[in-house]
Amino acid sequence: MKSFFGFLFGLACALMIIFFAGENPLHILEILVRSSFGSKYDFGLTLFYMTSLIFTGLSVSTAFKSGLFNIGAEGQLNFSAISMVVFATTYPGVTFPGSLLLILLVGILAGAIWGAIPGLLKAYRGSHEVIVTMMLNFVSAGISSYFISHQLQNPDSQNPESAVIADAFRTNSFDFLNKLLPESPVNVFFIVAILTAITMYFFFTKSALGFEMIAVGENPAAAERASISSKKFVVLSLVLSGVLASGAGMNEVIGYSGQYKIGFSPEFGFMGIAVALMSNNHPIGIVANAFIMSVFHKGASDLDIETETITKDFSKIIQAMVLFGVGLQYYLNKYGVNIGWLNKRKKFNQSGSV
Amino acid sequence: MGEIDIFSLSFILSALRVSTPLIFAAQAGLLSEKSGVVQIGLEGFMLAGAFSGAVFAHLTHSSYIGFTLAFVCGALASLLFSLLVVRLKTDAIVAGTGFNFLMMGLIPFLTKFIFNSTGSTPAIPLEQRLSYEVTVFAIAIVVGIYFLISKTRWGYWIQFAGEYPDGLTACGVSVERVRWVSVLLCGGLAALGGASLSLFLSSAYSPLMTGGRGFIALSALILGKWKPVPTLVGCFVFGIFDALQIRLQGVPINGVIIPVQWIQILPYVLTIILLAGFFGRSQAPAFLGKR
Amino acid sequence: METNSNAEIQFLNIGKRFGNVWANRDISFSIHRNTIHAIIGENGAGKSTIMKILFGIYTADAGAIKVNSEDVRFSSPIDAMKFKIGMVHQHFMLSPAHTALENVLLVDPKQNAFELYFKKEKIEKIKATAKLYKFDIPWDTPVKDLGVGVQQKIEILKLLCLDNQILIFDEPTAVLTPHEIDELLNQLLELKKQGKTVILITHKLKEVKRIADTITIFRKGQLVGTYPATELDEKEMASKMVGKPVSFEKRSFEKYPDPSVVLDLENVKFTENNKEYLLNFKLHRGEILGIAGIEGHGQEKLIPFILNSKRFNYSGKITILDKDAKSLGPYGARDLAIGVFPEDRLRLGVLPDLKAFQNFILGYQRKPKWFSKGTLDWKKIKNLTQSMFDKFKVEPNNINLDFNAFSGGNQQKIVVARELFHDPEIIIAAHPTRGVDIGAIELIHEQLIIAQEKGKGVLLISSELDELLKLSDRILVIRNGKIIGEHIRSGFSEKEIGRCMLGVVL
Repeated sequence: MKSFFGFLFGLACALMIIFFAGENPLHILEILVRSSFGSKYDFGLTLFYMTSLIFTGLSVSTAFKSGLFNIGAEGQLNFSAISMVVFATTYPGVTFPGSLLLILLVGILAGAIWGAIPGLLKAYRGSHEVIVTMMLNFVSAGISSYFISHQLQNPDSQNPESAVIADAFRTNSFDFLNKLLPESPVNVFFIVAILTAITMYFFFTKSALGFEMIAVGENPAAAERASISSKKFVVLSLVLSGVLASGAGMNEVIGYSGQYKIGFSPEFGFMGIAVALMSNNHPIGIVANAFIMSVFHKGASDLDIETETITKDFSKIIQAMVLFGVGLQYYLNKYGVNIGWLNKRKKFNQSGSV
Repeated sequence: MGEIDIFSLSFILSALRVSTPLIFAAQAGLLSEKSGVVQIGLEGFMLAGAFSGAVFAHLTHSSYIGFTLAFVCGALASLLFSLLVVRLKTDAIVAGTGFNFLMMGLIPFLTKFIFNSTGSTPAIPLEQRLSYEVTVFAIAIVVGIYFLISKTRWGYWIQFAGEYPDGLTACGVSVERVRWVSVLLCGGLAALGGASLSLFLSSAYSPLMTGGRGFIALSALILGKWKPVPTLVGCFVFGIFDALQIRLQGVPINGVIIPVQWIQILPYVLTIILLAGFFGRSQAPAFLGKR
Repeated sequence: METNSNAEIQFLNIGKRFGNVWANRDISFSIHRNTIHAIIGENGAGKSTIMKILFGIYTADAGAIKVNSEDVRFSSPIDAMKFKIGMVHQHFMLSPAHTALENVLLVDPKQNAFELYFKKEKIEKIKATAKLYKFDIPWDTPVKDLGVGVQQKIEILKLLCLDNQILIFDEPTAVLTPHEIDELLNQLLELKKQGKTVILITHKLKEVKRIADTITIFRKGQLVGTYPATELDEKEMASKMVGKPVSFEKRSFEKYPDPSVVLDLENVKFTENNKEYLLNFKLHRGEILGIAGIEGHGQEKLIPFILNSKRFNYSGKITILDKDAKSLGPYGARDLAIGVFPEDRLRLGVLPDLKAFQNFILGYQRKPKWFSKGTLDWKKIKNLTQSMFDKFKVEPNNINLDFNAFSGGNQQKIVVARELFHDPEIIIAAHPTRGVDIGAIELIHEQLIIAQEKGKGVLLISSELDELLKLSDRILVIRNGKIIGEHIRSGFSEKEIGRCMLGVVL
């Protein structure tokens, strides 16, 4: 719960900026709420964003748990999305239900590969995962841009996007959630996301594997002594992280649009960092905070129209402030007890002060 | 190589041109990282500089004033970063990510506020655009930083702050102060990189015009093993890629069109390969990112 | 209270508090010019704290300090340096990536940012000072390639280059070999001859006895007293440090009737980091086998090797509980009944930020007792942890606290409780009482003796010769990675073992 203060602090700062821009913060909040819950469509869109944020939040937090900073969820979900579209376009004849199974597999595999690269490099070559995952974000963006501009461009569209894949690869036809909020992009992956969060909760609290993964994050040398191979878990954790991030790609491609659109992700991967930090890496907290962040994100998109000075990019400011606020937790709690991952990193590295 | 002669003067000049923003930003990152502060906020500083440079050049009708004020704005923006990271010990990666977001969010807000536009600034007249003096200045900065880091006492403070801060404290120098100043100069220099984008490579600020150059600069820094001159070389190499990519758009070589994307991702792939130690290990400052 | 007007440094009622704990309380004593003044006490007695206050790293919460009768209040080392006070820290303040010369050049009374770093006259002055004190330093070698002895000389040289008058040494011999210790102690005497005042923080009483003029003793944050060195012998110093008479008694010795072998290293040979190791010994049931040796001579490789010899490219044969180590799984001997008290508790043995009961299963997380079908039975784990907490009298008796929240002694009790819980046949105890208070030391020693009496094999690795002499049935000496001497209990001679550790051939 302590991270919540960091979040409130960040939010207060963001609202202050609004105030100085000559708008009434309460009015802005009202727009945000109306925009997120105003209609069935709006609400569905909010839940759609939330779905992706749960996946990326879980992705980032899983890496945090084993002491790794995955800032590459963006690249992982992106690579997964383009791989699925490439697969479905290459083999359009596969029939249901094998088609759905295969495309899921491709998505998972792609996420796993994009997580395994930094994992293997970290474990066996000592490369810093932050730089590698960051670079892989650009590589994956380059790859998808290549496929869209050279292979898959939708002939019916001016926008850089692929053609729509066959229905057999999509969930639309039997999506009961989507039927509840028709026209909106929310889909069955919302339920998958919630179930994944619950699974991750049990994974980290009940399973020996989860305990071992946390042990590696806490103290790799001691884990090694306790017969837990830290190398293996570094790879495993980043692979898992990549797979979780790929959920955000599936949410878009399989669940909703059936195509790859350049820029479909408004940096869900980075928003996942804020979500994970706000939640102190607790899977259930991630669901709650993914909801909060999706409200802001959805709401911000309407600020353009409804106010004089605030733009839709306001969601970025909120995210920045939340990151600062949550990051500051360490300072705020300097003499307090454990507040999770951020605190732990510092304790291991404390040597700046004599 | 078909119509592209990479040894022609015009090609070399265009490579120099496009590497100019990288040179500033990479040297900026070098100052920050040498002092032990992880710097993934270069993109944000560049955005701040590109924007403020264009705004002030427009308002004062002088690109030189705009360029100078971009440095000031970048330095001022760095105070926020330093407050968080150097003073309040926020994780530099979290703060850097947040900082990039802040700039991406703040600038459209300001353009709407000041110019009522959707993110761009008004263009300056073509004759006011800066020219290769910026590149010369950038290279002079590299020489200056080389001299600063390896010859002066201040430079050794920076080195010790990144290698063994306790040792510096024990000699009576405040590590925190050294880092504040390093990050301040980093913010200013990276902003100059941004300003050279908006005032030299083009004549206005357009949304997200840095396009990941802050991260390419970071790659050049890693490729240059945190040393000023090799980092400069790294920037040139990436500049050549960039110039090549512009020239190769749709031009066949031996009948094959090389997709620009492959060239665009090359710097990133190279960095990953380098970090994996396949061309000799890269030596980061020992206390980089630790406290 | 002693108030001496010709004292160089006077501490007057100094107090320092961390949270609710007084690290120093009402400390008053003086240090005289041109003497070697030893400050001794157990871990956490407050001896380092008072010196960090003098050096300006901490500020006192109460009391005053006078230097040459002038009231001073240092808020940083920079202030202390102005009064010609310098400190050699336990961890050297040297940048490993920089050369010796670059490190020495960093000290400067003026610290002018814009001057050139390599000034000829400064370099010459440094080299002249080094010559004066007979320091032989390879100037252009990066510090990371130099031995600790040389590194320490660089540290001392840094202080001398600032013309410091008062030199504080924080546990300077902890990292040195006996030969280097000898050299250092002579150098300290040399410093005194040149008119310097030397303050020596240590817990090694022999060294104190050898060179100190005055001794100040600390216990639990308070001052016990200041004495001329001639007035106290080692035993008296020890009792004053601990607060009660210390018995150097050895345990009663009972040989276990069935001396079968539990751990057997036969001509094991391997090379790591260009260092050759040659290990050849047997551990019997019912014995405590001590491994003596100067730190860094190969005992640190012993545990990783026994636990997982597969990671080493070795020749010879290692048999653990009648199993050839080559036949063990990927985790090596960890699957067998071996309990290990790791050499560096916090780094190798525990998850400091997790709760005590979570730490209780580390390394044993897949024991069927609480693990089935991939999941852990936390309820059972908590109950068992609680029972061990009661048995080992861990304070505070709360298994839900973070491991970090316990004191060193209680942390070690938790580790010992965990490692003994599974009733191991072999116990490897490395520095089992390092950084542990007296009460816990006794409990841990008792547990080792109980294990021995039950017929377990105990391998005791320690750098405290006293501990080895007290507990061991046999002592092996390791030097340069090789076992070079065996000493049987009946013939223990401290002198002889000490000489063997130094490699002096008898």
